[in-house]
Amino acid sequence: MITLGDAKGRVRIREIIGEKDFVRRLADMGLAPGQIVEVLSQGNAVVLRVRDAKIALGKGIAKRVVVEVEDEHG
Amino acid sequence: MDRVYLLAQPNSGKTTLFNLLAGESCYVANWPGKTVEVFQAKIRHHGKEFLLIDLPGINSFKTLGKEEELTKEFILKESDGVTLILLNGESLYRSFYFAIQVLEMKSKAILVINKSDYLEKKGVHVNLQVLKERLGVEVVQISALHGIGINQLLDRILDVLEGRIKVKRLKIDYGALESYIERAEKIVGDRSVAIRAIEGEEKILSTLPNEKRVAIEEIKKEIGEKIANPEEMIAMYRYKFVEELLNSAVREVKVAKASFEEKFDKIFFSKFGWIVSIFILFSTLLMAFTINTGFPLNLLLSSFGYESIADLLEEYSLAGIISLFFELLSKLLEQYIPDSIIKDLLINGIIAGIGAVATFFPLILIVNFFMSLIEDSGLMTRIAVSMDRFFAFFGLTGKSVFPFGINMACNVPGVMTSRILETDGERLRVALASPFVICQARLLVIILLVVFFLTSPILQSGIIVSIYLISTLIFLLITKFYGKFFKEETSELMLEIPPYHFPSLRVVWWITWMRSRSFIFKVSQLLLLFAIFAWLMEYLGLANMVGAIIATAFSPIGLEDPRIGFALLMGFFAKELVISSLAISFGTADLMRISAELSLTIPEATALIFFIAFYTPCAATVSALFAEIRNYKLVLFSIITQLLIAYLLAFSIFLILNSF
Repeated sequence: MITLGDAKGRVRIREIIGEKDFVRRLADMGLAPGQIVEVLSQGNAVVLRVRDAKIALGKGIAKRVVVEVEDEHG
Repeated sequence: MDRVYLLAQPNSGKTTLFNLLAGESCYVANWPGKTVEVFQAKIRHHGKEFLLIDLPGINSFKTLGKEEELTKEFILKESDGVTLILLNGESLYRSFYFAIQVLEMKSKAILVINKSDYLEKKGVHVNLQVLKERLGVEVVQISALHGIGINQLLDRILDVLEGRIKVKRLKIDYGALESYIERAEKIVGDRSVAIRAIEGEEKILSTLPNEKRVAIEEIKKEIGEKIANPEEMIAMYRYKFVEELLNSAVREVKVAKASFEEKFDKIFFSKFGWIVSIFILFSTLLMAFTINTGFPLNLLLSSFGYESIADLLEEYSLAGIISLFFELLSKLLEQYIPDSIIKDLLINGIIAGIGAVATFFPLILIVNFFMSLIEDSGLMTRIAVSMDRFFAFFGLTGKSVFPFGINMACNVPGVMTSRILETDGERLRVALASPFVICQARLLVIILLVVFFLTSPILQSGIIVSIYLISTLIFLLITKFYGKFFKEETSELMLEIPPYHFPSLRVVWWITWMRSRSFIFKVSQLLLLFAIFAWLMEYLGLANMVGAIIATAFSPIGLEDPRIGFALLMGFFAKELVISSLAISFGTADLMRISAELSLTIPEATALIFFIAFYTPCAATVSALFAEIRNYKLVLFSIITQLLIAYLLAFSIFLILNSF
């Protein structure tokens, strides 16, 4: 299982593990299942490109977002 | 008067637009029934007047603090007037996702797409006509920073206020969920309310009678069994709607190349980004300190032999000039008012109190100015990202580095800076823990005592370094402890990173002024009260008595001299007073002689210095804490914690050193 805590490049969000409030907050940031995001950096926090926005997530949150690798044509 | 509400997510340029529209005519007002303050301004356009209300920015409908809560309640409830939904041109996708949710609830709205200059630069063309047709509301494109499109926006506001434009509520197609939404609508009587209820919005559900709630829960369960999780389904359909909307209305003409932004961000977001961040913070704070008190640049200069420049720097620093003014003022009053209790109160109570407020003010102003610069330029989120991993250990976010760093200058702006944090919980924890960070004023007192009370240079520097290490550790641990104690959730970083901006000085100055003004009005009241109280204690001769009582409490660590007790009492009001009250009670300003007369052993002196380092820093910090959290029980609790921890630390260091 890959999560945003260790993913690289373009990935598709499969599932968000957490209470519904947590899921809701992520959805409002553009992180909902099915969305494709690009992991820009895995430094001291995870930085993502979600459409036209850049989002930073703490490592703890990132580990609760399950993703799958998106192939280049997806 | 007609009301116009300004609504936006963070980073949308809401403050810039409000400032542009309101100019100088704005004021702060309490939101009815809440402790949250909002900015308001009366605005006149083509002879018509309306009230513009600046609602707190909101990130998500799952709110984290009382300010976001207010905005959410506003969105969910019926309201009068016109709602301006400000969209961030830099992240249209997320902005529209937010905007359509508002448009589902409110029809009398105008969509305002901000940062048109950015869109132009990026070669993004937005077809406003298509948006208007699809969304059923007026859409305007502006640049609040450059003042483009503002007149047109004001015209549209008047059009909607005076009913010249037909508006209708947005209806989004929820596909497979539609039949369920229809059923829920029959129960609650309104489509938007029905959708919110299916989403599990507590604010809506709690207003429903029990049997309706049960019926909604039934529908939710059915969706969950037959399709998928209803919350996720609704989010998915909304994103689909935005996707189609933007596909038809937004054209990117040319693709912008990777700019310097990407290069900088590579550094900030790498594993070593924290080094850059600490460098930026350190140099900013150094600059702020030096403008204010001349310290520590004066020490640096004089150690290189430039004593005269160092003196000049100190004398003409802001704090130096202000204290000079108040000295002159008391001297003047001393001469012209006949001796009486009133005169004594005026000079030693009230003027001393106002003087205290005044000497803090420049630092507050400077810190607020630098903070708004860092915030407005886009640096703040990047520094927060680079520091996040470290602070996450203690259940804080990287943003906490700002209040922490400012606390090293002064706890008063440090406590006030806690409000930049995202959640109520983190704000409270950081504000309450702030007094444990050693500030400049305490550092000076500590240095003086260390130099005159201890002779060994190794011991001197060892004690100062260990005080700093312990203070950092206590700050971090105590935030964790308060989190557990108040059952606050740990905060985790989740924020949008805006592009870099060249900060607009007009906006930065406005924010600086608004934040600093609140210091004068809120902190000064309590601070003045403290000053009068301190005066009264001394006037009635109670201070020496209390000093003696305090000294008894300190006899286990060999500090039974009542003059020390008195100095510690005065140190509660302001740490510098520790030195001056010692000087008064010993009848000499020579710390060498005081030290000789007290002849404390090394463990006793060290214990004293530790206690001074960690107990309640000053009355101003207590006042700022109260202004920020508005709960006297919590403030009292934090004072007791500080006294307890300081005493325990002093006692343990005494025992440890005594055992050698």
